[in-house]
Amino acid sequence: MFLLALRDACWLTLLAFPLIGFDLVQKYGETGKEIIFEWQAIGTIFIGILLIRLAAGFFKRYRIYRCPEGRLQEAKLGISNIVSKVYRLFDHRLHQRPALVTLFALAVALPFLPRVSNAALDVLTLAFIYVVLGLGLNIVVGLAGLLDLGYVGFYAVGAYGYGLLYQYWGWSFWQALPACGMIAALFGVVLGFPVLRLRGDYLAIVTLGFGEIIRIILNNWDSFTNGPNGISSIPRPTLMGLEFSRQAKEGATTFHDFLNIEYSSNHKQIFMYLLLLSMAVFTMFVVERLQHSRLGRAWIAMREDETACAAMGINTTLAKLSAFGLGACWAGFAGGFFAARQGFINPESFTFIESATILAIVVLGGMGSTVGVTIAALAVVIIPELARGFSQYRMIIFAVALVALMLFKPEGLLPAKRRMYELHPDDPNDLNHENQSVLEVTRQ
Amino acid sequence: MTPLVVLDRVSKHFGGLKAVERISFTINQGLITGLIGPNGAGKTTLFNCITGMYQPTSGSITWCGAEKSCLLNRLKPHQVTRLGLARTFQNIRLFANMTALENVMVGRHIQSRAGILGAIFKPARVRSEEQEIISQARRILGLVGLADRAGGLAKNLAYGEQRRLEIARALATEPQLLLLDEPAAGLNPSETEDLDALIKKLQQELRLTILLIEHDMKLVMNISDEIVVLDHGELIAQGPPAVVARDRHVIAAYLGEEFC
Amino acid sequence: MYFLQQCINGLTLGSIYALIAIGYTMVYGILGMINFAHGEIYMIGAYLGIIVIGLAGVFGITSTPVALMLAISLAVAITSAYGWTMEKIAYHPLRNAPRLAPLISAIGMSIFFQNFVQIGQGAKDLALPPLIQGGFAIGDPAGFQIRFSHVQLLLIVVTVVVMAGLTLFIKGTKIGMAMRATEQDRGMAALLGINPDRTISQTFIIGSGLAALAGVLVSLHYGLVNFSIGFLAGIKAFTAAVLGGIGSIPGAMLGGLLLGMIEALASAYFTTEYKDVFAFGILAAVLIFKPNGLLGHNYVEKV
Repeated sequence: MFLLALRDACWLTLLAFPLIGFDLVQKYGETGKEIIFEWQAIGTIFIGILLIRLAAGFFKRYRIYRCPEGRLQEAKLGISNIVSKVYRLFDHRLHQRPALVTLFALAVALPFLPRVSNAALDVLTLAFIYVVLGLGLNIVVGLAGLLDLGYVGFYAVGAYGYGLLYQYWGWSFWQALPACGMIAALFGVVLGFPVLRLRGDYLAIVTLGFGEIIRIILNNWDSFTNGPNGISSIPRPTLMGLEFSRQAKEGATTFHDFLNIEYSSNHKQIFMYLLLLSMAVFTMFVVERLQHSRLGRAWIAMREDETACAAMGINTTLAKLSAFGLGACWAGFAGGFFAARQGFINPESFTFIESATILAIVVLGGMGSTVGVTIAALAVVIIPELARGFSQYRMIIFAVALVALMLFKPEGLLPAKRRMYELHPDDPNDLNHENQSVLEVTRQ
Repeated sequence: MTPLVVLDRVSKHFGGLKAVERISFTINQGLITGLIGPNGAGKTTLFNCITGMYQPTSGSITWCGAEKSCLLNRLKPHQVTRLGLARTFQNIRLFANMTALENVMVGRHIQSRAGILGAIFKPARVRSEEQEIISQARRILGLVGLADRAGGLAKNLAYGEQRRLEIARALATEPQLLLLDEPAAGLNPSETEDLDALIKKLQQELRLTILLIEHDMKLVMNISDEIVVLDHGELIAQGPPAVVARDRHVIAAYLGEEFC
Repeated sequence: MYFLQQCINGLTLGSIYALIAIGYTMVYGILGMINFAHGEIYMIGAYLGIIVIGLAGVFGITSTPVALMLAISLAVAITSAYGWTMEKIAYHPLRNAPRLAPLISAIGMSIFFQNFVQIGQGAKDLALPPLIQGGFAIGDPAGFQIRFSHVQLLLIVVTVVVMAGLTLFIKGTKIGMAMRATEQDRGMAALLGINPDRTISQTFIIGSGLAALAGVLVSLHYGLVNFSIGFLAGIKAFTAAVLGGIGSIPGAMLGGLLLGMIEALASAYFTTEYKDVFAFGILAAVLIFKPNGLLGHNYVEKV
């Protein structure tokens, strides 16, 4: 095994050599150039690859060793296993109020705990936006099975929706938010219409094209969208009309004046955090409800077999458009919140890499699984932030993690499980399924 | 005898290939009509024309249902199903990653109405509708003998169970006409006997009209009231099983001219 | 005259797209996956070309044709090795995984390559001194002249020759036949003694090699490369492949040329900013009326 690892490390280092291994530097006082070798970089790469390769080999062998038939689940190692163990713990109770309320209460209490910095809250706020985006795209990709690579376009529509409504008509956040969702949903339906007949990867490339078109238009329509400069000084949301600034605008009251407390920039941060937290929880609730509804079943059936789905009397055109529309609607909400959080938007925030990240969240989470997508969204935002220290290598670490996760868990962290509509939770006939969340129909 | 579907000179061509050519016959209410013929005779194509998967090149297919009569030619598959026709597929097309029960619940789609808002807010009406869907789906699973497999994923069911699940899913749409495309394909003799009993039960207890494509002659001759024989896209014989079995065109098509 | 000039520009651009699109279409044909990192492979090819030319200068090779041959052959060889390795590491283990897993893995590889090159070569543009200068000018020297540089000529000629060679290769050789068989039915091909893994590796090697060729030629043409050029070129080339009918090699060529022409004409007669909008718009329009692309196989679903 060591020899194999050595072979691989040598090969990869050799490959990396032309791009990393040397620089051509102008010789002092001469016209020619000389080669300077970067031995340190080469050595680091070699040792790094060797260690990773050894670890991967060990991991693989250990897995095989520990996996007698039928106990595959128990034998799995690593973070994903811990995650799914925790999930399993919740599985029986997830839909019960106590566990949910505890989790929610913890999240609500978090900003008031000592030693929680503003920066940490800010990251979490952003993470919640991605939860909303991930769950929204999950409707389109995970449930309805329509591969959408242009999702970021609807996010942009939402963000610009608020930005432009504010800029031209002075709409406040709360007036604009429903409009953001609606406009984005409208875009989703309108752009979904021409691609109804396309399947799989053709759909993927056309949606990618639409996403790019939206970005290019935002970038170039200077007179309307202000082009690459974007829209700035977008106001933050208010709490029942109370502002979170130091000085209130004319006719408005600030939060600290109203409560008669000292002004603190923490208030604003905590408010945004709580706002996005509620939005994320609301999204989870809605997506969970949709998933187990008549419409959700139609989406999943369409994903599984479109022809058979049509033969069941389901209008697949409507099902597709509703998936596109609802998915886009959440992206629109997320966009509105994003604009409000940043206070500034420009087309740079809505590139393909965003679509790819959101798609990665859906796939990593295990397509169609609400809890999985939520965890993946938090992880995808928070992990690169933790790696801030190596800012130069942040994206490369993200990329390697993405590939590695796909290699070791191609089905995602928590693959979606089918809900059981069992009348008798302890029916011995049904113990052979591991994908069991025993739920009583009469629960609610 | 009341007609339920009337086919009048129905043709379906794929480029130069005449898959189905000027076929006329009637499916009568309450009867089991068997559709037979050698491989490539155009049986499945005809099925697809009736259920809206294909549009016939020419000819008319008329539906004379209890509530309304209309032409089926230009309808989409989901519209056809809403009229009261439901089908199974020759190559099993279940929703593989859904449970057996959910497969049948999808079939209840057109018998329920909850929309997006209903799904989100779940008012009492939607809740009771969901209960209704679940109990109906369980009842139908029981009817085809799959009650104890309700929680299993469709892809994990045994082959024979999958065939029955397809029938259950079609039944969930509450059709007047059930179209079965080779339901006995790949079944062993005892499973075929069970299927035979099931189809008869559906006809008698649910008063369903059934159109059946089948290669298992014993099964077809046993349960059909009427038989239609296709060969090379054309109708070569029709009538009660006993008559068709002696028809010289049919024998020629199946066994060759020399046996006539 | 102006129109002719735009046609030449379009043809040049189209040749590049076509060369890259081949890699997409071949991989898609055999594996059914979008190799999102393919644009990055092209970018790496462009970088390697410039680096080899620089090295040649250090070692005192001053003859342009020799340096060029060296650059093309080394860049193609090393980039092919990149493609092969990428397949082995990131895609091969995912042969039987859910459909989206290889796609995410490919997106991961794409981000990886971009940042890898950025760290190794810096974020700034890397410039190449013009090796081949001059060209033809047709028309009135005082009025509007059509310019057709030698590099453009080289680019188009190389593309045509390579395309012809590839077509013969796929049609005529044993490896080509194995590729076509694997594309039709991988399982059956394996039963007939074709090693699908090897065939897939060969596909990646050929696709990466062609992308590298495109990369070297592009750096000659524009004189500048950047670590981020791969993304847009990749997207455009994939669009070209889909336009022509993904999985079909002549389709990729046709799609590439068509897309190049559309872009050149759109930026000449309308506006440069919206040329990508035109490209994507036409793609959408073509797919709506011909869902399988211009030369794609007509896909009729058996019910």
